[in-house]
Amino acid sequence: MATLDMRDGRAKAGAVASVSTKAFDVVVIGGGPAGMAAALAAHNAGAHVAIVEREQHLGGILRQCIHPGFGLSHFKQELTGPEYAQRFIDQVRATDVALFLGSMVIGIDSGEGAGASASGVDEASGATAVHTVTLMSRAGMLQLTGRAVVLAMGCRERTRSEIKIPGSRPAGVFTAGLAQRYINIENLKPGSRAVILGSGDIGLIMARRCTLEGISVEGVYELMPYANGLRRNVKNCLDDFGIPLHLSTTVTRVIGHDRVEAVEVSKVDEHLAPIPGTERVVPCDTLLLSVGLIPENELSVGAGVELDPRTRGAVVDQSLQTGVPGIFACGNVLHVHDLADNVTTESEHAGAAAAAYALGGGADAEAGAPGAGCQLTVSPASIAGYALPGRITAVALTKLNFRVRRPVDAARVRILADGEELFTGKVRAFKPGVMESFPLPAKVIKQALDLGASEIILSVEPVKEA
Amino acid sequence: MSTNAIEKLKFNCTTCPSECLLTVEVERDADGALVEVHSVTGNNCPRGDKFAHQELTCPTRVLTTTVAVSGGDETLLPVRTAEAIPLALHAQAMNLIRGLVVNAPIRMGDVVLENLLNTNIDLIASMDIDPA
Amino acid sequence: MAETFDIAIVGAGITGCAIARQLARFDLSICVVEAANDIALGASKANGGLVHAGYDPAPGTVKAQVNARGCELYGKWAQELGFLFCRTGSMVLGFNDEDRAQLEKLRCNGHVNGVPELSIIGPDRIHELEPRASADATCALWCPSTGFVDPFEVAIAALENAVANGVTFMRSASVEAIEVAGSGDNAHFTLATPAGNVRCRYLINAAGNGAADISHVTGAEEFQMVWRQGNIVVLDKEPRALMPLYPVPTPVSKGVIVTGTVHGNTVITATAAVREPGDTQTYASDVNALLTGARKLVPDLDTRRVVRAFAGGRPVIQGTNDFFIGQSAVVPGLFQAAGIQSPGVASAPAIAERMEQVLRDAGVVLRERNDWDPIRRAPDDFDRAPLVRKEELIESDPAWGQIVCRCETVPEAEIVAAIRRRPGAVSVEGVKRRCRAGMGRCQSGFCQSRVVAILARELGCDPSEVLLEDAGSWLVEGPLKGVR
Repeated sequence: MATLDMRDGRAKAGAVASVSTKAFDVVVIGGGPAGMAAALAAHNAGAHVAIVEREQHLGGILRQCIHPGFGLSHFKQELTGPEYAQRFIDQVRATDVALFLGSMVIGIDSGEGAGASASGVDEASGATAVHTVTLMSRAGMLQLTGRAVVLAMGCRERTRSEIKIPGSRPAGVFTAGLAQRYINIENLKPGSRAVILGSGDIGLIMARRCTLEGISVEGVYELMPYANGLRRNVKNCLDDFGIPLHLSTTVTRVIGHDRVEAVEVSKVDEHLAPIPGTERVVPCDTLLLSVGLIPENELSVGAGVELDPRTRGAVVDQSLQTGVPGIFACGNVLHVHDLADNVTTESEHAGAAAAAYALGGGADAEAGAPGAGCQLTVSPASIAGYALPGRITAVALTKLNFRVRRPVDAARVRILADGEELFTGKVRAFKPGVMESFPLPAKVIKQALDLGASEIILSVEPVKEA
Repeated sequence: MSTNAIEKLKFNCTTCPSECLLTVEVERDADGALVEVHSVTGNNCPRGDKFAHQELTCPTRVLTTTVAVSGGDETLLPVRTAEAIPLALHAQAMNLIRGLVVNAPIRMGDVVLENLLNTNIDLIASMDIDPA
Repeated sequence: MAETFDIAIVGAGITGCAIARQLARFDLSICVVEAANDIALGASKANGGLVHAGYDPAPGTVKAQVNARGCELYGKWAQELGFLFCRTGSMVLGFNDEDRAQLEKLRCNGHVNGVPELSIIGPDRIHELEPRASADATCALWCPSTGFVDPFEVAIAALENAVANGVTFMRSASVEAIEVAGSGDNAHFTLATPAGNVRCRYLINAAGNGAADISHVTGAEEFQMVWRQGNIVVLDKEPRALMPLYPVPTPVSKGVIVTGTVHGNTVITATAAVREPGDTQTYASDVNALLTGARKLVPDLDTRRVVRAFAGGRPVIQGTNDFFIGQSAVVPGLFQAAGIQSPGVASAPAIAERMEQVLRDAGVVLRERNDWDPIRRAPDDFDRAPLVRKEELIESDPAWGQIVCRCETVPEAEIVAAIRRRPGAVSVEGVKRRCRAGMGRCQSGFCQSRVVAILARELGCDPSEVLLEDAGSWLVEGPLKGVR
């Protein structure tokens, strides 16, 4: 160590002869709802699949989301998070999908190589790179190879530092998910009097959870002028318990040297800046933060995957393939979803596409024949915050996902290419808390190509009511 | 002559993800007790009407919480009521559940407590828990 | 009556720890007495970790004498104590002719202070050395000897080495009173602390922001500390750590500096404002000033990626900008290492060396031990270990394969080692400072509950007794279920 120049970061985890290797068609990283759905879909398509999960159990974050509200669209029945997870765990357990639990992936190498495919794909078609996934567990280091890799690592919570709450740094400031873990998994009470910042679904759910467990919730504070979570959660989690929701208000100071003693809250103006003179001190011993989720893409970046700055997830095509051939992404690592059911649908798509890629030796066999020269980028416009997929390489029905940046009572989706309107949707309300999807017909993609366009624009445009 | 007041309430139906915003006209007596639900509007399907009536007479919710586990590979078992129970009983149910301990192994759907607070509804396991 | 130590050092900041390590080579019994429950909880944990080269202090000051020497010693200290040190060099960026004149002054200063190889360079060389430096910079003072460290790692490493050589460490022992008894060769001090009394023949005051109080209760020099508070921001890791980039300094401060860290993060350090003593709050205005200042030096810096913002107070003696190192003129046997503000980290090894000389000059007998071991074996760092070493570690103990902190790739065994080392971690933050669990972008959102469980197990206590930092910083109450 010492004076060597160590500015170039850690040593790359390259293939080492002493580490044993196992070959698969598809390696799925993450055993939450996304990873399980992707693995099952890949398995059903005939691929030899592995799931790598860092926890000892499958299920991911759903294990601590003990509340109901899951499965309404996928199972047509309201389930709790653990029930939703258990149904997939049972399905995975009934297959020969290889499980690597308690295993942490520390690197993905996508070097060009002649690694063997588990299904013994014809050598001639095996020009595609084989990805090497290096993982560690209590049993040692291990490398898995796969023609396709599905990234399904989920997301993490935004922290106090990222939203720059000033003040002291005592114990008692928790992300909502950490508090949820203490309460629902560890059987530990994280405090007695809580203030919750953020009215996203996790914040609302935790307000109810805390109340039921005897932690008094002084109030939920929301920077925006509207509640971010689903209406059902505002009703069932706050209204049912008489917990006040303070809109256009944020925490401007944490008070307390050793443990939180209070927080200072302030009203914010239309630019979301705190208004001097509106400060109010709220005594509490706990501050829970539910201030957004961020896809966890450090592994993806290490593997050379390009990210979309808007979603902070990978830029993918219609088959959810990233810019690195054979690496797919789905679920919250791709973009933050609000319903697990949507994660499942998306991940089944990614898993099937990954299997098709692995077994077909490349290309997006599943998404239809790639249109000759079909290379379109998809960009959001107006109040659309992002559009996914960001690339379209096949002329086929494509599900476009997007989210608006602010709530509007009346807006319409417009699809544009080369300045021409190819489609316009009906006028309706949109909310930032709801991930929307829009089926882009093959004929619209064809039209765009016929125009010689290289870009499709998904615009959500507010309209003045007549 | 009636001293009853007519009140207009607005709340969302939570039966399905559509979350229709219901407008409900109710009549209350001088003590504030509900006399009659006059009208429900804003619902896109009949379930909204049913929900509004239930909500005004006896709101019910599924209660989800945890129960301590003995001998399992997890400390807590997530549990739920098999059906919605009256919201008014949730606090009492929590007090009852606080002291429970169940033994692993447990399978999803196992009954943890029968006929919770005489509701005829069971408290059931939400997840499998294997022995430690 | 308790043992009488030859020397008691008050304060286990980087200064006290470095002095303890320096003196441990001699045949002396030494006790380090710390008010907090861990090493480096004052100014030493709340600074940017820069090993400044020494061109900044006014020639002739104590600072000027110890800064360049300290910077020089860092290579040897890092090697012996096994802490990370990157000597990358630094640039003070100038944007106009006025700045250029200032840089020339700094270069002369540096030359007088003994800073090696300073030169003024132009835009081409600037961008060759650090491609991310602002394109508007027209000139820079290039200083190859500047480096950076993890400041608490230095303090911890120094004290671990001292303790391995027989030094006693007392935690949670805030000095409440000091009695001076006897005179001449029989003189001794008795320090009353909540952890018990400590008797010693010589007393070294390295109490940081508490130095004025220690001097006062000993009946020595009266001075006041000024709490010159600084906010600091840490950004997420970059593929390549930035070279330290400084603006042209002002009379009171080096200004907002951007630097890489030994772990590849970026640090923006520091604001300077006199605030209420003990105020470690961050302020929105300070954080904004840091981010704005940093973008002037590195325009492409992604200032959204804030991992942590924190603040600390520089231990400044009112009325002087200099360090106070020497024997008390009022109470013989008391040695002061006070007012160790910036560049305290850079100077620490030289302050220790100077303290040795001060003791010698005062007639303290310093006999070299023949069993002194200058080497501290650093704990294994899983994340940095080559793949083969990772395999060996897991084979030696499966807990090396059990990841606890995802962001920094810290396995359980590394956390256990941090707790079991001497002196070991006794809190969640203590674990973080030793092995980085919880230091990353999620700020312990994923691992805190697991670290709490490991601490409870290793310390033999209930999770409700585990502390985030010092006394009173409880994290959780008791169980929710299975209780009546």
